[in-house]
Amino acid sequence: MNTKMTKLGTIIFWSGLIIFAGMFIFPFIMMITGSFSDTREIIPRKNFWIPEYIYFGNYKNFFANSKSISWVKNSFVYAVVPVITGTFINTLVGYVLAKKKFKGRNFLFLFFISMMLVPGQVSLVPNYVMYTTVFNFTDSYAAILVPGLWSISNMFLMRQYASTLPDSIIEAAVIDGSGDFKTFFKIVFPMLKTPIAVMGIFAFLAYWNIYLPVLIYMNDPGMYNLTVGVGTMVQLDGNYGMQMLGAVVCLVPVFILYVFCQRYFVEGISLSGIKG
Amino acid sequence: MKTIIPDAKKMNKTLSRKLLKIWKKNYMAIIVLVPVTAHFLVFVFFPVLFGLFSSFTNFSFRNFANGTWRFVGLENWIDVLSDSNFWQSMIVTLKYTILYVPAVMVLGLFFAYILSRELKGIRFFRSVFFLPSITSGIVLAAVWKYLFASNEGGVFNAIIGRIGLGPINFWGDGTTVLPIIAALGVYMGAGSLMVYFLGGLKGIPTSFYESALIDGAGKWTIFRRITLPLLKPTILYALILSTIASFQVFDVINILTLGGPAGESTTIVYLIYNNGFKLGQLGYAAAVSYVLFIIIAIITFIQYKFLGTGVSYE
Repeated sequence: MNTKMTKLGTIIFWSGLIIFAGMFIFPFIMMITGSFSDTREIIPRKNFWIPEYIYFGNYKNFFANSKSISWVKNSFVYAVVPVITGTFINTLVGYVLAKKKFKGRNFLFLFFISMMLVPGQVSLVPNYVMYTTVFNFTDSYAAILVPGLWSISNMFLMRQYASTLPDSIIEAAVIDGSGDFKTFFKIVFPMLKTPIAVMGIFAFLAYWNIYLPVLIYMNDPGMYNLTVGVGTMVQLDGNYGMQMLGAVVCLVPVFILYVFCQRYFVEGISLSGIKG
Repeated sequence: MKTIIPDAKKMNKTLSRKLLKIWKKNYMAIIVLVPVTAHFLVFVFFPVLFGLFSSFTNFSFRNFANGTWRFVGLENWIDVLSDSNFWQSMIVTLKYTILYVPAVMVLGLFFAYILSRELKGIRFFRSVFFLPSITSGIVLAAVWKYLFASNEGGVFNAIIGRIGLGPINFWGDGTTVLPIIAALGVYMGAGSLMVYFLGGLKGIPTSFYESALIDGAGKWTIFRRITLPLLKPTILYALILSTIASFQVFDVINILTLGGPAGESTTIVYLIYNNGFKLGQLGYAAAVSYVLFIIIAIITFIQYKFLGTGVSYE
């Protein structure tokens, strides 16, 4: 809606926005300044969140410690692998369910979708029992990566997108002698580039930030990702500076993605509904 | 003489030819869907069934491993529904939902509305409000802990300390714990709702606004009579998703309050985690999780019935 604003209205509008924005940015600023503060004292002083001088010790400790380095490594493993496997599997399944006709196709699709209605907490304990006793996934990347090979909601998205692709192009390729998989990789996959990118970014974020599965399947702190690692630091009520540093490190890849891939975020939300 | 007995060799040839034909037509679907469906059955479908099954047993980690578990019928379910801890966690979850959902919807809609004009620089503000939505809850919870630290050194307390107001014991006081956790939720959720409502607002034809302005309608009237009703489907969808999300709060509670003080922030999911993992009562936890499932389904259904009347642009 574009009604004209009065001069006073403009001033109120922009100053109000700046104040709100300031409040929203403040926690991030706290994180950054906190990571540079020296908080090794046992009794935290008043206004501990305003650093007295710039202290690099936290950074030194974090990156010199093999445990925290492994947290970073694990975060990348847990986040990147599902994105790669998901890109291929979700797209393949979505395409097959959208464009390939066979008996029972709709039933299978609805069967997959029906499980989206069940909240994750229902399978929390059964999965735990299964993964720890039958599969022995404890303290193994498999606990996260095997279930994370693909996801129903992303497959659903891909299926919706694939069904909008024009049949004529696909048929033309088949007539030209291209086999099913070749057609898929040479023609269908490139046409789905944008939804795949959006899906990939959100999947990366979701897996970068996972908490509970890592918490329950990893007993060895060396297998934690940054999220759980920082979480344990916060719980133990120790060094404020270190906790803020952990938060900053955890935030950096997310922030980088955010700055460079803005348009994918906006597209992603409007396409698939609200995140979280 | 015509043979009445069918030729076995010929039948085999036709059968294999038929199978080959099916394979040639559907090999992609077979190669893709067979392993994926197997994965789905094992990792998605079976756990849901197993959860239902275990809600009727007295599973614990020990008796499951050595097979000494037994069926207990509806005992877990009766235990859950008569357990005061369960009802308290329901109340806590409801309190949280009442705090969180209206606030996040109003804030999200407010941000979307004031940021809907395409002014220069508006994109920056949209980015700022959206950033917490993609940040991990753990990361923000870390800051939240100190933002609202209970002593006078905490940021909030330091600020109100300047005007002489006493420090508020945020984390130790049962009445303040949920509001600040809900505030964290709103901080994280408002941005993505904002983007969603922005999309919804874009879908309203400007001709509606123009004719209303010509008729002399004021801004508030326009908002109430045109914008809101046309946003109804968007609002409903946002409401349902936000409510479902608010019923599943866990991560931040686990690191900030551990369900305390005195159970004041023990939501249902935290109860499942606590009873299932910390105390090992797998059957009980399974029953709670299914009750949660049923409750979410009922509330979603009610919301849909209440607000689900369709709106079209006429």
